[in-house]
Amino acid sequence: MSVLHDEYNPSSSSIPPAGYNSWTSSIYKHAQTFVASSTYTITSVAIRICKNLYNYSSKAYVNIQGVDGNHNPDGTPVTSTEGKTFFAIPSYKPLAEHDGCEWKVFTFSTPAELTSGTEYAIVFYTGGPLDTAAWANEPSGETGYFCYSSNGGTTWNNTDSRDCAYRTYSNYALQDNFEAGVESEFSGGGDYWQGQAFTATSTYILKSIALRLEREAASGTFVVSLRATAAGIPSGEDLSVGILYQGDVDTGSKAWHEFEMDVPYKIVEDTTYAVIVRSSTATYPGFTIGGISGGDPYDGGTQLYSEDAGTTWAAIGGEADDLWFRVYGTATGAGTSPDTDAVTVKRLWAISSNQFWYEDESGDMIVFADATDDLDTTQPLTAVEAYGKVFIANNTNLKVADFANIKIATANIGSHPPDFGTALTGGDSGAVMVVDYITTTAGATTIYGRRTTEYTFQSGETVTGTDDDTNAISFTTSAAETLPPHWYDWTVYGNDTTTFGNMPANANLVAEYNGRLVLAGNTNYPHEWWMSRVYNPWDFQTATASVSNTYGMAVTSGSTDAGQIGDVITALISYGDDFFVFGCSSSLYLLDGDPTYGGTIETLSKTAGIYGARAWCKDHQSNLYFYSGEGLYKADGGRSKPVSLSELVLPKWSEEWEANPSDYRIVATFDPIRNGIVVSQTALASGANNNYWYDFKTDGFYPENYPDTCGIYSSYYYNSIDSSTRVLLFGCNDGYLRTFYDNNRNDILADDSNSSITSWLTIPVLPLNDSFDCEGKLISLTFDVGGGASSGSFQDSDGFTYELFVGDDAETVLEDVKDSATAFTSGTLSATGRSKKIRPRARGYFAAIRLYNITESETWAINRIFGIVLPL
Amino acid sequence: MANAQEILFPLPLKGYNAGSNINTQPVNTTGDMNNVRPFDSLERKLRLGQRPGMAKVYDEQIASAASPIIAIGSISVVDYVGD
Repeated sequence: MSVLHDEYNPSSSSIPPAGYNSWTSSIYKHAQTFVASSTYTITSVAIRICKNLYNYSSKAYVNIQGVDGNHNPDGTPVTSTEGKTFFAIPSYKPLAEHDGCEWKVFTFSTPAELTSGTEYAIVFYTGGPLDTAAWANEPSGETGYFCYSSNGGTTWNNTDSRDCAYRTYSNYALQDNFEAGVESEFSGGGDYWQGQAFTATSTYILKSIALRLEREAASGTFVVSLRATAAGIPSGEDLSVGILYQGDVDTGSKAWHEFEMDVPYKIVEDTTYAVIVRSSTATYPGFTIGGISGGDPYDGGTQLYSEDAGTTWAAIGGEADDLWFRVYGTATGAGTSPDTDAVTVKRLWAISSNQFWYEDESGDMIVFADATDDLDTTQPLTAVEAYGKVFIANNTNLKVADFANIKIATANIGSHPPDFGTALTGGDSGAVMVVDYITTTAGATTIYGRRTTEYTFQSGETVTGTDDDTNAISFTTSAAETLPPHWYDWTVYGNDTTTFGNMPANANLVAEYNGRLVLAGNTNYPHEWWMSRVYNPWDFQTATASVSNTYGMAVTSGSTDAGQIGDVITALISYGDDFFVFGCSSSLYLLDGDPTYGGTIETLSKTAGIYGARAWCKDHQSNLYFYSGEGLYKADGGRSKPVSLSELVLPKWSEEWEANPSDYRIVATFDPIRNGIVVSQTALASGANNNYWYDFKTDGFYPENYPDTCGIYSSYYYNSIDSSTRVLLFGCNDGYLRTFYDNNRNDILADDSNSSITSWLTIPVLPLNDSFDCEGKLISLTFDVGGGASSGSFQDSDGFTYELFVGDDAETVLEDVKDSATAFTSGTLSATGRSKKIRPRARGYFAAIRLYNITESETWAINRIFGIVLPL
Repeated sequence: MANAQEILFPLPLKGYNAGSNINTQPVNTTGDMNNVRPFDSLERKLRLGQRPGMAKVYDEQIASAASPIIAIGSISVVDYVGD
């Protein structure tokens, strides 16, 4: 597909609603404008087509036009118009099944240069008034104008609140080609393969190959490959492969078709290679290809053919024919930069109100519709990522959100269903998948697995493989493959409990430990735990009287000699280096090693338990912190006896919080950016909250509170690829994901309004005389406010109010502060840096200073406070 | 009468401490503070300042309703070619 330039790719696709001409035809034309993001030569456009109503053997057309002053197409195409048969467009589907739409590519035989910042229109129409198709269209306003015409494009209307899905492309740089003379045609298909040798004029990285192709009625899948040559004849296996499906190539006339190659192979200057093309049809001819007959006008090689599916080859040297070809690539060697370092994408997910949402390609959070109401968020729920999936434990709802596998289906899996890890191959498509999970072992079955080819599984093709017992697998697909994500029940493989054991009937705790999925929190067996087979989350078959224990097999607390846990499990904490912590109601246990290979369970604490599933976190060094109900504990490295961090500092923490899991959620969150932990207590019913910030550098606790709508119910440090979302996330009471932003001087509410932060601080009570039996007089007071001089290099603190209290004893002074008694003196500082000297002339035995700020959009910092005291 | 003396009010950089007699309050702690952190949000220097504000990271309201987000996580995947 070459280089993507401009794009609108909504997550869903509808047809244009009534009033916008739902259908495209030769009369009802549609267009989408866009502003070119750079200057480039547009060579193809992909648009997302939802359906055609009548499936006539007509054509669809796309061209690029300029726009008039009203953002409508100006009627002058800047690219050639290329037709596309309707054959490949998904046939009619009811409106509710619109996700069947597909991206279809239209390649221009006459590319055109687009200018950066200029608005253009992609115009889409068909060949006849009844040949209707629909262009995926969503309300958005994200890109240009959606235009619609009812008179063949003579006049247009438009709206900027809807947009059609499109992608624009340019080719990679043309590196080698031949396309001179009067075009002739040559046939291929089945075992008869065509080819052309060419000699590289430079060294470059192969990206794509284009050929002039026309297909017969049934061509099957087209495959273009690159091979090395020996004496001008293809030699060895394919070095790089590209495919197009039957519907991508027209009948009736030849056109350039570009094949994106799967391996970016390095082409070396002055080396001769062979471009080979074949189609999967059994009949000959399946296609014709353009070239020139006679004269041998191309010096770098000649036409090649094979009559035995590429086993033996001959060059058409005598007739001196040459096929037309274009080889595209990117420069190599000094001065080139890598296209990308990204090998994975990350997707955030969040669960709320019986719904599962995830981050789409554009970074927006969208609902996973299949999951809605398949969860019960009034019940306890935890989830864990493993193997490209999210495994969810929500009481009786054990679910999988699968972001890794494709899905195929069959009406009859046959007598030998595939095993976990079986490789399956599509007979027509050549697609290959490694099976991960199947829903049943007989009859109609859905198969999930990782596709390892660019070829995709098609509807109605025969899929074959060989199972672990060397039995032949064969079944016919009932639909084309579906890309992830998928939502399904978490069961044992094929729901075959005879072979793969039983999962617990319900669970609300899940974790991953050394390749195993761990479940606990069963309401009937709250002390028990279950672990799947290593690297297989679908196998819970444990050792029995007739099945002996083997390393890595599934295991439960009842099937192992590792030891039992005598307390209700409240949290599952996985450590990568071969141990696992069970947090319990009032105790802590450590599983050391693998329970099927000599692992043992040891007691870490018989007094400190973990309050709940989210009341723990780990820091950079994997030290474990947890809230026990009595305060915050730390277990060094996760495997040491826990020690309380708060018992001396916050002796009444437990009483003040009145923590009860029926009413409150406790979340402990490690903040790797600010080096501390937020321990939050949030009322389940209201979001009212109390929180402590525990700072690693000062080893101190700092009380905080947030607006009720910002109350913390969950948290996660999202190590996003996008730096703007690489933050500590809090799942809040009002359904929004928030984080702490240094630049935010307010808390931001759901309606984007500001909630001022009420902050205060009492400077410790200080005697005003070295002798406790004598008074002193504070005759001056000076504040050093953060920010230095106004503006400058350092950010400036806003002002704050100070209050000075004096009294005869320290506790009375502090009581006055806390009771908001009338201060001896007070004032507001509004400037940064060193304040003017304040003359309080306050007499007493002890003094305290309180600073506070309750003003919206303000924050403050204090460097130092000092004064002059006159002992009396 | 003694001479005037300079006095430095110690900032409670070590945070909140509710477990001590006021006369033996540990150095650099206080018995009264809220929404204050040791590293301020302006320069993240150790000096005390108002905590940073909480703000939305994503525009979308999960579940399109004012109901709590009970679980968050992420998943790493390798997209299919052409996906």
